[in-house]
Amino acid sequence: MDTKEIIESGSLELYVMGALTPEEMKEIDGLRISHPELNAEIIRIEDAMIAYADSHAIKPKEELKEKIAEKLTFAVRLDMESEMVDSISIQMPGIYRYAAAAAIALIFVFGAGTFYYAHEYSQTNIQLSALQNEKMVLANQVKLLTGESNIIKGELAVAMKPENKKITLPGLAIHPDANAVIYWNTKTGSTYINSENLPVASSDKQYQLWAIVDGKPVDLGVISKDSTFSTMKHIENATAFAITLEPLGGKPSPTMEALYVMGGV
Amino acid sequence: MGALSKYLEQGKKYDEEQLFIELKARSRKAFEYLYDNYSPALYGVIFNVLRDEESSNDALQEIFVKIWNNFDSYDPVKSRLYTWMLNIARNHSIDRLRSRSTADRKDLKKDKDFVRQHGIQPEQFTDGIGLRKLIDHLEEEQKIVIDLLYFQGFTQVEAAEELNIPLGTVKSRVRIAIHKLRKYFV
Repeated sequence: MDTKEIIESGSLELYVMGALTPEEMKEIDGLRISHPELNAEIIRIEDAMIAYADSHAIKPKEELKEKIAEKLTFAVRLDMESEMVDSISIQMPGIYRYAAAAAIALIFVFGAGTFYYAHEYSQTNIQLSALQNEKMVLANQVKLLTGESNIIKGELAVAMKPENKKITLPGLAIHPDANAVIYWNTKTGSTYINSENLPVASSDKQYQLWAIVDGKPVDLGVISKDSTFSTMKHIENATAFAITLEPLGGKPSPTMEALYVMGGV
Repeated sequence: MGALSKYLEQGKKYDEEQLFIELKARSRKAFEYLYDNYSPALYGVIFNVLRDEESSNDALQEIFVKIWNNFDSYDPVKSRLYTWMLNIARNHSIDRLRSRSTADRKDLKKDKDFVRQHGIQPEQFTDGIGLRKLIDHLEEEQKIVIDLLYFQGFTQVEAAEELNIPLGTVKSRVRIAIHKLRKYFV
Protein backbone atom coordinates (compact mmCIF):
# COMPACT_ATOMS: atom_id res chain seq x y z
CA MET A 1 0.00 0.00 0.00
CA ASP A 2 1.40 3.44 -0.85
CA THR A 3 1.04 6.37 1.52
CA LYS A 4 -1.89 7.88 -0.37
CA GLU A 5 -3.86 4.65 -0.04
CA ILE A 6 -3.04 4.43 3.67
CA ILE A 7 -4.19 8.00 4.23
CA GLU A 8 -7.43 7.40 2.33
CA SER A 9 -8.16 4.06 4.03
CA GLY A 10 -9.15 5.70 7.33
CA SER A 11 -6.58 3.63 9.25
CA LEU A 12 -4.72 6.68 10.51
CA GLU A 13 -7.87 8.03 12.13
CA LEU A 14 -8.36 4.72 13.92
CA TYR A 15 -4.68 4.75 14.89
CA VAL A 16 -5.05 8.11 16.65
CA MET A 17 -8.15 6.84 18.46
CA GLY A 18 -6.33 3.68 19.53
CA ALA A 19 -8.92 1.51 17.73
CA LEU A 20 -6.53 -0.64 15.68
CA THR A 21 -5.12 -4.02 16.75
CA PRO A 22 -1.70 -3.88 18.50
CA GLU A 23 -0.04 -5.27 15.34
CA GLU A 24 -1.62 -2.60 13.14
CA MET A 25 -0.65 0.08 15.66
CA LYS A 26 2.97 -1.10 15.56
CA GLU A 27 2.98 -1.08 11.79
CA ILE A 28 1.92 2.55 11.69
CA ASP A 29 4.37 3.44 14.48
CA GLY A 30 7.08 2.29 12.08
CA LEU A 31 5.63 3.79 8.90
CA ARG A 32 5.26 7.28 10.36
CA ILE A 33 8.98 7.44 11.07
CA SER A 34 9.96 6.52 7.50
CA HIS A 35 7.17 8.53 5.83
CA PRO A 36 7.00 12.19 6.94
CA GLU A 37 3.79 12.76 4.95
CA LEU A 38 2.03 10.07 7.03
CA ASN A 39 3.37 11.62 10.19
CA ALA A 40 2.07 15.05 9.13
CA GLU A 41 -1.35 13.54 8.45
CA ILE A 42 -1.39 11.83 11.86
CA ILE A 43 -0.58 15.13 13.57
CA ARG A 44 -3.49 16.82 11.77
CA ILE A 45 -5.83 14.03 12.85
CA GLU A 46 -4.60 14.39 16.43
CA ASP A 47 -5.51 18.08 16.27
CA ALA A 48 -9.03 17.16 15.19
CA MET A 49 -9.44 14.59 17.98
CA ILE A 50 -8.13 17.09 20.52
CA ALA A 51 -10.77 19.51 19.28
CA TYR A 52 -13.38 16.79 19.62
CA ALA A 53 -12.32 16.12 23.22
CA ASP A 54 -12.29 19.88 23.86
CA SER A 55 -15.82 20.18 22.56
CA HIS A 56 -16.86 17.76 25.32
CA ALA A 57 -14.88 19.56 28.02
CA ILE A 58 -16.42 19.96 31.47
CA LYS A 59 -14.78 21.98 34.21
CA PRO A 60 -14.28 19.79 37.31
CA LYS A 61 -15.18 21.14 40.76
CA GLU A 62 -12.68 23.61 42.21
CA GLU A 63 -11.81 21.53 45.32
CA LEU A 64 -10.55 18.60 43.22
CA LYS A 65 -7.38 20.48 42.32
CA GLU A 66 -6.12 20.64 45.92
CA LYS A 67 -7.18 17.04 46.53
CA ILE A 68 -5.09 15.91 43.58
CA ALA A 69 -2.11 18.08 44.51
CA GLU A 70 -2.03 16.36 47.93
CA LYS A 71 -1.65 12.98 46.23
CA LEU A 72 1.33 13.96 44.06
CA THR A 73 4.99 14.14 44.92
CA PHE A 74 6.64 17.32 43.77
CA ALA A 75 10.36 17.33 43.19
CA VAL A 76 12.47 20.31 44.15
CA ARG A 77 15.41 19.38 42.00
CA LEU A 78 15.38 20.05 38.27
CA ASP A 79 18.53 18.27 37.14
CA MET A 80 17.75 14.68 36.14
CA GLU A 81 21.33 13.74 35.40
CA SER A 82 22.71 14.52 38.83
CA GLU A 83 19.86 12.53 40.35
CA MET A 84 20.99 9.43 38.49
CA VAL A 85 24.62 9.92 39.48
CA ASP A 86 23.64 10.47 43.12
CA SER A 87 21.69 7.25 43.30
CA ILE A 88 24.88 5.38 42.44
CA SER A 89 26.97 7.19 45.03
CA ILE A 90 24.52 6.57 47.86
CA GLN A 91 25.82 3.05 48.34
CA MET A 92 29.45 4.05 48.87
CA PRO A 93 29.58 5.50 52.41
CA GLY A 94 27.91 2.36 53.80
CA ILE A 95 30.68 0.12 52.49
CA TYR A 96 33.30 2.46 53.85
CA ARG A 97 31.77 2.68 57.27
CA TYR A 98 31.26 -1.06 57.47
CA ALA A 99 34.85 -1.79 56.47
CA ALA A 100 36.32 0.74 58.87
CA ALA A 101 34.09 -0.28 61.79
CA ALA A 102 34.88 -3.94 61.23
CA ALA A 103 38.63 -3.32 61.08
CA ILE A 104 38.70 -1.08 64.17
CA ALA A 105 36.55 -3.42 66.25
CA LEU A 106 38.81 -6.34 65.43
CA ILE A 107 41.91 -4.36 66.43
CA PHE A 108 40.39 -3.66 69.85
CA VAL A 109 39.14 -7.15 70.61
CA PHE A 110 42.19 -9.08 69.39
CA GLY A 111 45.12 -6.93 70.47
CA ALA A 112 47.54 -9.54 69.20
CA GLY A 113 46.22 -9.34 65.69
CA THR A 114 46.77 -5.60 65.45
CA PHE A 115 49.37 -5.71 62.78
CA TYR A 116 47.44 -8.18 60.66
CA TYR A 117 44.20 -6.23 60.87
CA ALA A 118 45.96 -2.93 60.21
CA HIS A 119 47.14 -4.54 57.02
CA GLU A 120 43.60 -5.72 56.26
CA TYR A 121 42.38 -2.22 56.92
CA SER A 122 44.78 -0.74 54.42
CA GLN A 123 43.75 -3.43 51.93
CA THR A 124 40.14 -2.39 52.49
CA ASN A 125 41.17 1.19 51.84
CA ILE A 126 42.79 0.18 48.58
CA GLN A 127 39.66 -1.73 47.59
CA LEU A 128 37.60 1.25 48.61
CA SER A 129 39.51 3.65 46.38
CA ALA A 130 39.23 1.12 43.54
CA LEU A 131 35.47 1.06 44.09
CA GLN A 132 35.38 4.84 44.21
CA ASN A 133 37.23 4.92 40.92
CA GLU A 134 34.76 2.49 39.45
CA LYS A 135 31.94 4.65 40.73
CA MET A 136 33.36 7.64 38.91
CA VAL A 137 33.74 5.68 35.70
CA LEU A 138 30.13 4.46 35.98
CA ALA A 139 28.88 7.94 36.74
CA ASN A 140 30.67 9.25 33.67
CA GLN A 141 29.20 6.48 31.57
CA VAL A 142 25.72 7.34 32.78
CA LYS A 143 26.39 10.96 31.89
CA LEU A 144 27.69 10.00 28.47
CA LEU A 145 24.77 7.67 27.72
CA THR A 146 22.25 10.24 28.91
CA GLY A 147 23.96 12.77 26.66
CA GLU A 148 23.88 10.41 23.70
CA SER A 149 20.25 9.51 24.19
CA ASN A 150 19.38 13.21 24.47
CA ILE A 151 21.17 13.86 21.17
CA ILE A 152 19.25 11.05 19.47
CA LYS A 153 15.95 12.19 20.98
CA GLY A 154 16.68 15.74 19.84
CA GLU A 155 17.42 14.65 16.30
CA LEU A 156 14.35 12.44 16.14
CA ALA A 157 12.14 15.29 17.35
CA VAL A 158 13.59 17.58 14.67
CA ALA A 159 13.31 14.91 11.96
CA MET A 160 9.67 14.11 12.84
CA LYS A 161 8.49 17.69 12.43
CA PRO A 162 6.84 17.96 8.99
CA GLU A 163 7.98 21.56 8.57
CA ASN A 164 11.63 20.50 8.68
CA LYS A 165 12.87 19.60 5.24
CA LYS A 166 15.47 16.84 5.07
CA ILE A 167 18.37 17.45 2.66
CA THR A 168 21.11 14.88 2.16
CA LEU A 169 24.51 16.25 1.14
CA PRO A 170 26.45 13.56 -0.79
CA GLY A 171 30.24 13.26 -0.65
CA LEU A 172 32.36 14.96 -3.31
CA ALA A 173 35.57 13.78 -5.08
CA ILE A 174 37.76 14.43 -2.02
CA HIS A 175 35.80 11.82 0.02
CA PRO A 176 32.96 10.16 -1.96
CA ASP A 177 31.83 8.02 1.02
CA ALA A 178 31.12 11.02 3.20
CA ASN A 179 27.66 12.49 3.61
CA ALA A 180 25.73 14.78 5.92
CA VAL A 181 22.04 15.37 6.56
CA ILE A 182 20.53 18.83 6.97
CA TYR A 183 17.10 19.51 8.48
CA TRP A 184 15.93 22.91 7.37
CA ASN A 185 12.78 24.74 8.34
CA THR A 186 11.99 26.77 5.24
CA LYS A 187 9.63 29.06 7.16
CA THR A 188 11.70 29.95 10.20
CA GLY A 189 15.15 29.29 8.74
CA SER A 190 16.16 26.95 11.61
CA THR A 191 18.95 24.63 10.45
CA TYR A 192 20.20 21.39 12.04
CA ILE A 193 22.88 18.98 10.94
CA ASN A 194 23.65 15.31 11.44
CA SER A 195 27.40 15.08 10.88
CA GLU A 196 28.09 11.48 11.92
CA ASN A 197 29.06 10.38 8.39
CA LEU A 198 31.81 12.95 7.89
CA PRO A 199 35.39 11.62 8.26
CA VAL A 200 36.91 12.39 11.68
CA ALA A 201 38.67 15.77 11.57
CA SER A 202 42.22 16.10 12.95
CA SER A 203 42.55 18.00 16.24
CA ASP A 204 43.56 21.26 14.54
CA LYS A 205 40.67 21.22 12.06
CA GLN A 206 36.91 21.55 12.13
CA TYR A 207 34.05 21.29 9.64
CA GLN A 208 32.14 24.41 8.68
CA LEU A 209 28.64 24.60 7.16
CA TRP A 210 27.76 26.98 4.36
CA ALA A 211 24.47 27.87 2.73
CA ILE A 212 24.43 29.00 -0.88
CA VAL A 213 22.22 32.08 -1.23
CA ASP A 214 22.03 33.86 -4.59
CA GLY A 215 25.05 31.88 -5.72
CA LYS A 216 27.21 33.07 -2.79
CA PRO A 217 28.32 31.07 0.29
CA VAL A 218 26.95 32.25 3.65
CA ASP A 219 28.62 31.05 6.88
CA LEU A 220 26.27 28.91 9.05
CA GLY A 221 28.90 28.24 11.71
CA VAL A 222 31.40 25.55 12.57
CA ILE A 223 30.12 22.04 13.37
CA SER A 224 30.67 20.82 16.94
CA LYS A 225 33.36 18.15 17.29
CA ASP A 226 31.66 16.70 20.38
CA SER A 227 28.22 15.95 18.96
CA THR A 228 26.86 14.21 15.87
CA PHE A 229 23.81 16.44 15.83
CA SER A 230 23.97 20.24 16.08
CA THR A 231 21.83 23.31 15.71
CA MET A 232 23.37 25.73 13.20
CA LYS A 233 22.73 29.39 12.35
CA HIS A 234 19.39 30.43 10.79
CA ILE A 235 19.19 30.90 7.05
CA GLU A 236 16.35 31.71 4.68
CA ASN A 237 16.23 31.33 0.89
CA ALA A 238 19.14 28.89 0.65
CA THR A 239 19.44 27.02 -2.65
CA ALA A 240 22.14 24.57 -1.50
CA PHE A 241 24.25 23.56 1.51
CA ALA A 242 27.95 22.63 1.58
CA ILE A 243 30.57 21.63 4.16
CA THR A 244 34.29 22.41 4.08
CA LEU A 245 37.12 21.37 6.41
CA GLU A 246 38.70 24.49 7.92
CA PRO A 247 41.17 25.40 10.69
CA LEU A 248 39.61 25.32 14.21
CA GLY A 249 37.05 28.09 14.59
CA GLY A 250 36.33 28.26 10.86
CA LYS A 251 37.00 30.94 8.25
CA PRO A 252 35.01 33.88 6.86
CA SER A 253 34.92 32.30 3.38
CA PRO A 254 35.11 28.64 2.36
CA THR A 255 38.28 26.86 1.21
CA MET A 256 37.00 25.41 -2.06
CA GLU A 257 39.76 22.76 -2.20
CA ALA A 258 38.47 21.32 1.09
CA LEU A 259 34.84 20.94 0.01
CA TYR A 260 33.62 17.60 1.40
CA VAL A 261 29.88 17.40 0.76
CA MET A 262 27.33 19.51 -1.07
CA GLY A 263 23.66 19.20 -1.95
CA GLY A 264 20.87 21.31 -3.48
CA VAL A 265 17.57 22.07 -1.74
CA MET B 1 -13.19 28.01 26.24
CA GLY B 2 -11.72 24.60 25.63
CA ALA B 3 -8.21 23.72 26.66
CA LEU B 4 -6.97 23.68 23.10
CA SER B 5 -8.16 27.14 22.22
CA LYS B 6 -6.62 28.39 25.44
CA TYR B 7 -3.43 26.65 24.49
CA LEU B 8 -3.47 28.23 21.06
CA GLU B 9 -4.16 31.67 22.52
CA GLN B 10 -1.11 31.43 24.70
CA GLY B 11 0.85 30.46 21.64
CA LYS B 12 4.48 29.67 22.15
CA LYS B 13 4.56 31.02 25.67
CA TYR B 14 4.36 27.59 27.20
CA ASP B 15 4.46 24.92 24.55
CA GLU B 16 4.47 21.17 24.98
CA GLU B 17 8.25 21.01 24.85
CA GLN B 18 8.65 23.24 27.88
CA LEU B 19 5.84 21.48 29.67
CA PHE B 20 7.61 18.20 28.91
CA ILE B 21 10.77 19.42 30.67
CA GLU B 22 8.84 20.73 33.69
CA LEU B 23 6.92 17.46 33.92
CA LYS B 24 10.12 15.45 33.78
CA ALA B 25 11.25 17.50 36.75
CA ARG B 26 7.87 16.90 38.50
CA SER B 27 7.63 20.57 39.35
CA ARG B 28 4.64 22.05 41.14
CA LYS B 29 4.46 24.60 38.34
CA ALA B 30 3.98 21.83 35.79
CA PHE B 31 1.04 20.44 37.77
CA GLU B 32 -0.63 23.84 38.05
CA TYR B 33 -0.34 24.33 34.30
CA LEU B 34 -1.43 20.81 33.52
CA TYR B 35 -4.48 20.99 35.75
CA ASP B 36 -5.61 24.48 34.75
CA ASN B 37 -5.34 23.77 31.03
CA TYR B 38 -6.16 20.11 30.59
CA SER B 39 -8.45 19.04 33.41
CA PRO B 40 -11.70 20.17 31.68
CA ALA B 41 -10.94 18.11 28.57
CA LEU B 42 -9.89 15.09 30.65
CA TYR B 43 -12.92 15.42 32.89
CA GLY B 44 -15.13 15.66 29.80
CA VAL B 45 -13.81 12.36 28.51
CA ILE B 46 -14.15 10.73 31.96
CA PHE B 47 -17.71 11.94 32.42
CA ASN B 48 -18.70 10.83 28.94
CA VAL B 49 -17.67 7.30 29.84
CA LEU B 50 -18.78 7.07 33.48
CA ARG B 51 -21.90 9.32 33.48
CA ASP B 52 -21.70 9.73 37.24
CA GLU B 53 -20.25 12.67 39.13
CA GLU B 54 -18.86 10.92 42.18
CA SER B 55 -17.23 8.22 40.14
CA SER B 56 -15.85 10.80 37.69
CA ASN B 57 -14.33 12.82 40.53
CA ASP B 58 -12.52 9.74 41.83
CA ALA B 59 -11.38 8.83 38.33
CA LEU B 60 -9.97 12.31 37.69
CA GLN B 61 -7.82 12.01 40.80
CA GLU B 62 -6.61 8.54 39.87
CA ILE B 63 -5.84 9.68 36.34
CA PHE B 64 -3.76 12.65 37.45
CA VAL B 65 -1.78 10.42 39.79
CA LYS B 66 -1.27 8.00 36.87
CA ILE B 67 -0.12 10.76 34.49
CA TRP B 68 2.21 12.13 37.14
CA ASN B 69 3.78 8.83 38.15
CA ASN B 70 3.99 7.30 34.68
CA PHE B 71 5.24 10.33 32.87
CA ASP B 72 8.53 8.62 32.05
CA SER B 73 6.67 6.18 29.82
CA TYR B 74 5.39 9.01 27.61
CA ASP B 75 7.18 9.01 24.27
CA PRO B 76 7.06 12.42 22.55
CA VAL B 77 7.79 10.84 19.18
CA LYS B 78 4.70 8.61 19.27
CA SER B 79 2.03 11.08 20.22
CA ARG B 80 1.21 14.54 21.39
CA LEU B 81 1.25 14.96 25.17
CA TYR B 82 -2.41 15.94 24.95
CA THR B 83 -3.34 12.76 23.06
CA TRP B 84 -1.37 10.63 25.52
CA MET B 85 -3.24 12.12 28.48
CA LEU B 86 -6.64 11.82 26.78
CA ASN B 87 -5.96 8.16 26.06
CA ILE B 88 -4.99 7.50 29.69
CA ALA B 89 -8.18 9.23 30.84
CA ARG B 90 -10.34 7.27 28.44
CA ASN B 91 -8.76 3.86 29.09
CA HIS B 92 -8.79 4.32 32.85
CA SER B 93 -12.45 5.37 32.77
CA ILE B 94 -13.41 2.39 30.65
CA ASP B 95 -11.56 0.04 33.04
CA ARG B 96 -13.36 1.65 35.94
CA LEU B 97 -16.72 1.25 34.26
CA ARG B 98 -16.09 -2.41 33.56
CA SER B 99 -15.09 -3.19 37.13
CA ARG B 100 -18.19 -1.34 38.34
CA SER B 101 -20.60 -3.62 36.55
CA THR B 102 -19.16 -6.65 38.32
CA ALA B 103 -22.01 -8.97 37.42
CA ASP B 104 -21.21 -8.49 33.75
CA ARG B 105 -17.48 -8.47 34.21
CA LYS B 106 -16.84 -11.44 31.99
CA ASP B 107 -19.14 -10.28 29.28
CA LEU B 108 -17.52 -7.45 27.39
CA LYS B 109 -20.49 -7.04 25.11
CA LYS B 110 -22.82 -6.50 28.06
CA ASP B 111 -20.44 -3.93 29.52
CA LYS B 112 -20.65 -2.05 26.33
CA ASP B 113 -24.42 -2.31 26.28
CA PHE B 114 -24.32 -0.77 29.73
CA VAL B 115 -22.37 2.16 28.33
CA ARG B 116 -24.76 2.42 25.44
CA GLN B 117 -27.79 2.57 27.70
CA HIS B 118 -26.18 5.46 29.49
CA GLY B 119 -25.67 6.97 26.05
CA ILE B 120 -23.87 10.14 25.26
CA GLN B 121 -25.65 13.44 25.20
CA PRO B 122 -22.81 15.92 25.18
CA GLU B 123 -25.13 18.88 24.63
CA GLN B 124 -26.21 18.70 28.27
CA PHE B 125 -22.75 19.22 29.59
CA THR B 126 -20.99 21.57 27.26
CA ASP B 127 -22.77 24.83 27.99
CA GLY B 128 -20.62 27.84 27.37
CA ILE B 129 -17.97 25.94 25.52
CA GLY B 130 -16.98 27.63 22.29
CA LEU B 131 -16.12 24.49 20.43
CA ARG B 132 -19.56 23.04 21.01
CA LYS B 133 -20.59 24.27 17.56
CA LEU B 134 -18.03 21.97 16.02
CA ILE B 135 -19.97 18.81 16.78
CA ASP B 136 -23.07 20.25 15.14
CA HIS B 137 -21.34 19.89 11.83
CA LEU B 138 -21.25 16.13 12.18
CA GLU B 139 -24.07 13.85 11.10
CA GLU B 140 -25.60 11.74 13.86
CA GLU B 141 -24.25 8.53 12.29
CA GLN B 142 -20.73 9.99 12.28
CA LYS B 143 -20.98 11.12 15.91
CA ILE B 144 -22.08 7.65 17.00
CA VAL B 145 -19.10 5.96 15.35
CA ILE B 146 -16.61 8.37 16.88
CA ASP B 147 -18.22 8.12 20.31
CA LEU B 148 -18.14 4.33 20.21
CA LEU B 149 -14.50 4.24 19.21
CA TYR B 150 -13.20 7.19 21.14
CA PHE B 151 -15.22 7.39 24.32
CA GLN B 152 -16.25 3.81 24.73
CA GLY B 153 -13.14 2.00 23.58
CA PHE B 154 -14.78 -0.15 20.91
CA THR B 155 -12.47 -1.65 18.28
CA GLN B 156 -13.47 -1.02 14.69
CA VAL B 157 -14.78 -4.59 14.38
CA GLU B 158 -16.92 -4.23 17.52
CA ALA B 159 -18.25 -0.91 16.25
CA ALA B 160 -19.17 -2.49 12.92
CA GLU B 161 -21.03 -5.28 14.73
CA GLU B 162 -22.72 -2.92 17.14
CA LEU B 163 -24.05 -0.69 14.37
CA ASN B 164 -24.57 -3.55 11.96
CA ILE B 165 -22.59 -1.89 9.17
CA PRO B 166 -19.60 -3.12 7.11
CA LEU B 167 -16.09 -2.51 8.41
CA GLY B 168 -15.32 -0.23 5.47
CA THR B 169 -18.26 1.97 6.40
CA VAL B 170 -16.88 2.42 9.93
CA LYS B 171 -13.62 3.61 8.47
CA SER B 172 -15.18 5.93 5.94
CA ARG B 173 -17.56 7.51 8.48
CA VAL B 174 -14.68 8.15 10.85
CA ARG B 175 -12.64 9.63 8.08
CA ILE B 176 -15.41 11.97 6.88
CA ALA B 177 -16.14 13.06 10.46
CA ILE B 178 -12.54 13.86 11.23
CA HIS B 179 -12.20 15.68 7.95
CA LYS B 180 -15.03 17.95 8.98
CA LEU B 181 -13.40 18.59 12.36
CA ARG B 182 -10.10 19.34 10.68
CA LYS B 183 -11.52 22.21 8.68
CA TYR B 184 -11.40 24.28 11.83
CA PHE B 185 -7.67 24.01 12.11
CA VAL B 186 -6.55 25.04 8.64
